[in-house]
This record gives sequence, C-alpha cells and structure tokens, in this order.
Amino acid sequence: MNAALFVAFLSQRATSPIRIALAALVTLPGIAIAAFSGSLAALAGSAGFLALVFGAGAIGQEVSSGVLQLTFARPVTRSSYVFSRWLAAGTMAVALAWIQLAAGAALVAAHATSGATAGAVAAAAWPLALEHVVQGYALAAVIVGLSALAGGLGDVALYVLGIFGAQILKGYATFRQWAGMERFADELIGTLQGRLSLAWLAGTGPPHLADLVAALSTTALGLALAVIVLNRKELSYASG
Amino acid sequence: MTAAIQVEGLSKTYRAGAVKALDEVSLEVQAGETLGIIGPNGAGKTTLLGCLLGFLTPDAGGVRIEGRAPDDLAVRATTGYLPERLVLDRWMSGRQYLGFHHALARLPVARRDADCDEALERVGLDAAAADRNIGRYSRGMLQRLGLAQALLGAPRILYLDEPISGVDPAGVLLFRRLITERAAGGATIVINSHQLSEVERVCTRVVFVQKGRVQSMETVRAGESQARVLRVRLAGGWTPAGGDAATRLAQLAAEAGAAFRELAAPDARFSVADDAGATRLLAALLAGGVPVIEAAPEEGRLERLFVEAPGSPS
Repeated sequence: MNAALFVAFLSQRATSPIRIALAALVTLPGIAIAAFSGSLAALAGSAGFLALVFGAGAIGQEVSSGVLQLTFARPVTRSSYVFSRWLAAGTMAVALAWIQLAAGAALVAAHATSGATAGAVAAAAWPLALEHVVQGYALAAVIVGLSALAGGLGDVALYVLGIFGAQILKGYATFRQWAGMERFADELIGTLQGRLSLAWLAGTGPPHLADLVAALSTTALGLALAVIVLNRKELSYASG
Repeated sequence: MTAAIQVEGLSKTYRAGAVKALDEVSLEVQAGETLGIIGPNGAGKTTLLGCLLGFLTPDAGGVRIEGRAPDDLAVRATTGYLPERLVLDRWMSGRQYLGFHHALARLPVARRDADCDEALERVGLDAAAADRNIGRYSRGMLQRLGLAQALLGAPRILYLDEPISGVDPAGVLLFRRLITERAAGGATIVINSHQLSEVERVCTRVVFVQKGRVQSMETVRAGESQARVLRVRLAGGWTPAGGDAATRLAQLAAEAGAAFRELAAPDARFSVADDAGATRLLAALLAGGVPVIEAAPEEGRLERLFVEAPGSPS
C-alpha cells in the first residue's frame, strides 16, 4: 500500500461532485426508510453500492487519461497502486455506510418505545456494520478488477453487463433445468452483488460461513485480476 | 565514463508484429551526457523512450539503466520524466501535485514544503498559480509544472519528451537554462524533440531515428568534424581588382582550406570542414578585401540529418 496514492485517491473521490451526489442518493433515502420503518434492513447492501460509486474508473480512468505514466515513472509498484486504490475505495464506502448505519440506528432507537427495543437495534446494527466492511471491500475489489480491464468508466459497463448476463444465464439454465449452470449463474450474481448476510452473528440463525468465505475469495480474485492485468499493461501513447 | 543507459538490439512491434516501431536499436548514453533523439513522426522515438522508461516490453533486446532493469524501483527513484502528452491530476493545485509526486518519489518528508516551493519558484510559477487548480492552468503553465515535477529530487536520469512544446519564448529560455543546469549537475538527460535548434543548443549528442532504426549519431558541441555549407552575402557591385569574382573567391577559399562552390550574386557558397574552417574562411575573405555583409550556415547540422536521411523527400 502506498500512503500517498491512498490519500490522493480519497481526496479525489471526496471532491468529485457527481460521486458525492450519488453517495447521497444511496445513503439519505436509506436513513429515511430506516427511520420510518423502524428497521435497519433498508441499510443492508449500501456499502457495496458505495464501493461501486467510489471505485468506478479507479484504474481505467487513469489509464485512459495518461496520468498513470507519470505515476509509474516513480518508484511505485503496480500492485501497491492497485491495493491503494482498492483500500481507498473500500474505506470510503465502509466509512459512509457506517455513518449511514449510525444515523439510521440512532433514529430507529430514538423512536423505540422501550429500552429493550433500543437494545435490539444495537444487536442488529453491529452485524450489519461488519457486513458493510466485508461487502464494501469485496465490491471495491470487484470494481477495481474490472477497472483494470476497461478504460474510462468501462468497468461500470462491464459490471452491468455481468449482472444482466448472469441473470439471463440463470433464467435460461432454469428453463433448461441445468442445475449446475443455474448454480453457477447464481454464484456469479452473488459475487457481483456482494450478497452477504452476517445476521447469524446476532444469533438469528445458523452460521453461513460460506458467504463469508465467498466474499473474501471475491476480494482476493478481484485484486489478483487487477494486479495481473495492470502488470501486463504497456503504458505508452506511441504509435510507432 | 560509464554508460548510464545501455540499449542493445532493441526491437519492438505493435499490432502483433504488423508495425515495426523499433528495429534492433543499440546505443549507449554516458553518465552526464545530454542525448537528443530526433526523427520524423512515427520514427519510433516515443517507443524508444517508452522502453527506456520500462513502460513497454521489447520484443527483443534490452535496456539497462545504470546496470539495472528500467522498471527497477531503485532506477525510478532517481528518474525524472516529462511526457509529451502531459496529463496531470487536474483536481489538485500545482503545489499539491508537486507534494504528491514528492511523496511518490520517496523524497524526505521533512523537505517536502521547501522542495516544492523551490521547484515552483524555479519554473516561474508564483504562489497564486501554485495554489490554483491544475484544471485552470494554461498549456505553458502545465508544461512548467510538469518540468518542476520531473526535476524534483534532482534526478540522475531525466527523460524529456517534447519539453518545450506549447511553451512561450520566455519559457523556452527557462527550460533551456534548467536543462543545462541539470546537465551541469551531472544528470544524464534524454530529450525527444522536434525543436532541432533547441536540441542542438542543449544536447551533447544526437541520434537520428527513422523507421525504427538509429540512422546516425552526431556529436553536437564537439561537432568540428561536421562539414557544412556557408552562405556568404557580398555587398552589391563588388568586382575584384584585375580578375573574375568567382576565381578570386575560389583562390581565397583554397588559402583558408575551404572550397568555393558557386557565386550567385549577391551570395557566394562555400564548403567548410568545421566551425574553425568557417572562421578561417571569413577571416581570409575579409583580409582579401571581399565586402562580406552577412554569413550564415545554410542549414543546421540536425536539419541536414533530416535532409540527407535515406528516403527523405529532398
């Protein structure tokens, strides 16, 4: 990890009006829904979406613009560049998701009629906080991996295509009763969406360690993809 | 001197071999030397620079920078680079940008502010400009900031790709001075440029690249061995006493060790062997009573490289 790259990426994302507006569109309605419904369920998955908002174009935009040439003329390894981008996008997503969760939990607790309900809010909040961490960093890795494959914001297009493609594949596999293919498509959708529930940590059901392992392996795969692709990428505007 | 940059048999193709950008290029750049790379568009100059920087993987051959691979972090820690297509992080201010590159270059944190202020001052960017967002910089200001980042930490190896492109005359003078200072400080500098007169001014050696090959190398400042054509303008109506003008000019040229080529009034053309030969010729003409009002080389040595290159339009 390179601290200068990490801080620069955080600053750049934090000063991007479009990204901030998109982040507000995700977080504020979630808080309102939680307050009115009295449940934190509406806040699940926001870290993943925020990771997509802050991670989109993390590598591709710099490759397309030519900024990377100057970065890599410095003593910076490509893997540390990838890790810095991933960590910054993930951290930003998790931090905002936590702020959203804290605000949502405070409003739900404030409307709670008894101390027992307030305790229940806290019990539901901490697994969700952990979920945000795992999901935020996993989807940040997915989008960083895709960003290494496509220039500009092509990673968003790849992501959307991946989701739609997997949905179509799943529907077709269901229609043809191909159980293995259906399972594969379902796993792909789960990976791309960062599907994860850690509610079992609060004792609401049996442990689902497979989800956790899948999220961790998604993170590793996304990062490995980004490092491999970027290490093989030639940086030049030469045409001959 | 030890070779700071060694290029051996370097070949590079694009589009699965369809476009040959570099074809067995070999050259050495000695430590402290300022090398100019010139050549027509598409000659392979930027590809060569890309290989020197370790951005491109050669198909064959290799590059060693101070005995190491070009993408070795130790090499990059002592390398400065100014690209031709200068794209900077537009959301930062000039000062933040230099601080960012200071950190990337792993220069001492304690010296960051002082180094950045000094670098900004050196390239003539005042405090107001330094604190402005790069997105609001003019082309010339961008180029100055780009040079400031390239010079951070006084790099031992400096790559400059079209450094004065888009720079005003004052900027050109500044760039020339800074490059010359860095060269005097012992840096090995490689300049890729179409500005032949500037290359001739700051470089100690020039390679002419065409169709992916090094066509020729010229030592610029020690270029005495380079013959040239000198055009000498004479005052109108001059006729030597007791003879033909062309005969007299040929006689004086021969005495100075030069060769008379032709007289097309008011200009006479001579071939001289080198700079000293040009001086001797002019001295002989003046001493022989020839009314010289102007003398100029017909073309720069580097311009001649283009003209005389195989396959050139002239």
